[in-house]
Amino acid sequence: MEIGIVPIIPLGFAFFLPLLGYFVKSRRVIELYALTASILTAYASWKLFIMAYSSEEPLVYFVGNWPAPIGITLEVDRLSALIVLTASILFLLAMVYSIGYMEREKGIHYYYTALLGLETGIIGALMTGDAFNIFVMFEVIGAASYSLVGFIRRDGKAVEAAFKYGIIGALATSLYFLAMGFVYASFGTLNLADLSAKFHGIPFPVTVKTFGDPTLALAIFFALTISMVVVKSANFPGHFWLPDAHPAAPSPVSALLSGLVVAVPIYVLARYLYTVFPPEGEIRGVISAVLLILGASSAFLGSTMMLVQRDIKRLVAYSTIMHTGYMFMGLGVLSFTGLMAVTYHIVNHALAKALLFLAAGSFIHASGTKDFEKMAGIGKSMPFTTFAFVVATLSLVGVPPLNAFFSKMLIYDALVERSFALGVVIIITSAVAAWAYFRALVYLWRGKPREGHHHEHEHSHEGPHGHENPYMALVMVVMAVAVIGIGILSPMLIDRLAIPAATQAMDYRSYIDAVRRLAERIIASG
Amino acid sequence: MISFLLAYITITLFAMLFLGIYGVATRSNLIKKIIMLNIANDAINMLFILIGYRMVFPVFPPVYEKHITFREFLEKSVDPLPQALVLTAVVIGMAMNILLTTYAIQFYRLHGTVDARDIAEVMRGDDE
Repeated sequence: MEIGIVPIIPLGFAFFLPLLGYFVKSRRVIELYALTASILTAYASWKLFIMAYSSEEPLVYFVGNWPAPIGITLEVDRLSALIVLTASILFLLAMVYSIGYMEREKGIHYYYTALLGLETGIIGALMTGDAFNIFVMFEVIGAASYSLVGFIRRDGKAVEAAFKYGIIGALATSLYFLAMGFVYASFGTLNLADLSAKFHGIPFPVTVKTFGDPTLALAIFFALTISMVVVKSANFPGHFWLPDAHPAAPSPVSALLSGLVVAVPIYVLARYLYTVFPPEGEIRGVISAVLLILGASSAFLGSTMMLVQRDIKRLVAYSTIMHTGYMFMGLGVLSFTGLMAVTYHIVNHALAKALLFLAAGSFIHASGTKDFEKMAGIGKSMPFTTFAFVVATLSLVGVPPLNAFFSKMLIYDALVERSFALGVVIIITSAVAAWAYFRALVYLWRGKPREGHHHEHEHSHEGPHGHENPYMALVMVVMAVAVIGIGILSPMLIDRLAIPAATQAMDYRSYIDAVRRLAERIIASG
Repeated sequence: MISFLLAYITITLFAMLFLGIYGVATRSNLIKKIIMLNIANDAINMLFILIGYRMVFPVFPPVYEKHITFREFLEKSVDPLPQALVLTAVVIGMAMNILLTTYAIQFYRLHGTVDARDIAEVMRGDDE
C-alpha cells in the first residue's frame, strides 16, 4: 500500500458527498456512504500503523513523484502513525454516534461532508513532511471545524461562537504563514527533512545553502509558531474561543474538536521542537520557560473555571484547556520522557475526552437542556450513558486502572525531573477538576430538580426520563471498554507504542535519511 | 535609495500587519473584523512576495524565454516559490472570507445587528 492513499480516501468521499446529497434524499444512504468512507480510512490507517511500527525508519511518499526539496513530501513515523490511527478510529465512532445524535437535523449530507473534510485535514497535518503543507492542512481543519461549530444555524450562540473561532483561527494560521516566510528567507526550503538537515549541517540533494546565520530567523519562527499553537490548541492567553465553540457544536463534533483538533497543533509543535529544530543554547531555556508557564497557567485556569460551570459541555470544554496545558508542560521539559508522556497523553486524552463529550451529548439529546442542574436525576434512567460518563471522568481525573492515569503519571515524572513544583501543579489541578466532576455527577445521579423551573418536565414527578439511542449507547460502551482496556494494558502499551514513537521522533538522522535516500534514488534514475 | 525603499515597504507592511491584528482584537463590528483580518492577511502575503524579489535591474518574471541566456535568467529572475505559496494562501483566504461572511449574514438574520457588543447584551438577557 502506498501511504499517500490514506488522506485521499476521506477527501475523495467528501468531494462527492454534496453531489450525492443533491440527488439522493434518503438519510440512510448518506449515513452508509459516510460510514463506508470512515471504515475504509480506519482500515488504511491500521495498515499504515502496522507498516510504521514494523519498519525501522519513517515511511516516505513523494506526491506526484517529485523528489524531496522540490515537491510535497508525506513522511510518517511512529509518532504520527499512532495519532493517525487514534484519529481515524475516533472518527469512525463519531460517525456511528452521529446517526443517533443528528436524527432530527436537516441537511445531513453537508454535516458528513464537513466531518470527512475535518478527517482529511487532521490526517494530512499529521502525515505531512512539508512545513507549508502543515499550514494548508490547518486551514482545511479550520474551514471544516468552523462550519461544523456553526452547523445548527438557528442557534445564535453557535453562530457567534463559530464566527469568533473562525476569525481568531484564521488570524493564528496567518501568523504561522508569516513564520514560513522567515524560515524560507533564511533556509531556502520548506521541506521538514531538508530544514532539519540544514539545521544539523547534514548534506541534502538539490538544495541551496542557508542565507547567513539562521538563529534570528529561528527565534522569530518559534515565537510565531508558538503563538499559533497557543491559539489553536487553546492554551492560556489564546483559550477564550474554546469554551464557546466546543459546547456550541453538535456533540460528536465537540468530541472530535476537543479530542483531536486541539492535539494536532501540539503534535506540530512537538515535531518542530524534537525532530526538526531541537533548540540549543539560550533559545532552549526561553522556549522551555514559555511552554511551562503557559501550560501551568492553562491548567490552573481550566480547573478553576470548571468549578463554576452549570453547562455540562462547558465544564468538559474547560477540562480540555486544562489537559492541553498539561501537554504544553510536557513538551516544555524538552526531554525524552516529556515527549513520550505527551504522545501517550494525546492518545488517552483523545479517547477519554471524546467519550466524556459523547456521554454529555447523550444526556443533552435525551433531556433537551445543557444545564446539568436542570437534568438532575436523569442518570438513573440512562445506565449506559452514566456508566460511560463515570468511566470517562474517572479516567480524566486520573484514577489508577484507567488510561489517562498512566499518561498523567508520565507527565508528572517528566515534570519532576525539572522541578518538584511543576509536578505539584498536576496534582492540585487534578484534585480541583475531580471536585468539579464529582459535583456534576451528584446532580446527574441523585439530584432533585431545582425549584422554579417547570418548562421541561412538569409531567413527571421524579425527574426527567432519558431514552437511550442504541447507536449512541453502542459507541459509548465500546469506548468505555477501550478506556478500561487501554488502562489495564498500559504498562505494555507504553513499552510497545509510546516509547518507540518518541524514540523515532527524536531520531532526526533517520528522519532525514529516509527522505534523502529516496530522493537520491529518484534523481539518479532520472 | 533602493535599500531605503525596501526598508520603507517592509516597515509599512509590518505596520499594516499590526494594525490588522489590533483591529481584529478591538473592533466590535463583525464586518470590520473581517476587513481587518484581510488587511493583516494581505500584509503577510505582500511580505512573502517581497522575500522572493531580487534587488537587481532589470528583474525578470520566473518564466524562461528564448531571448535571454540561461545564466542571465538565473541571476535576474525572481523566486517563483513565494508566489506559488501566496497564490495558495490567497485562495484559502478567499474561502475563509466567504465562510466568515456567511456567519456574519446569518448573525444579522438572527439578531438584526452585526455588532458583537449588542449581541453580548442580547445573550446576557437570554440567560436571565
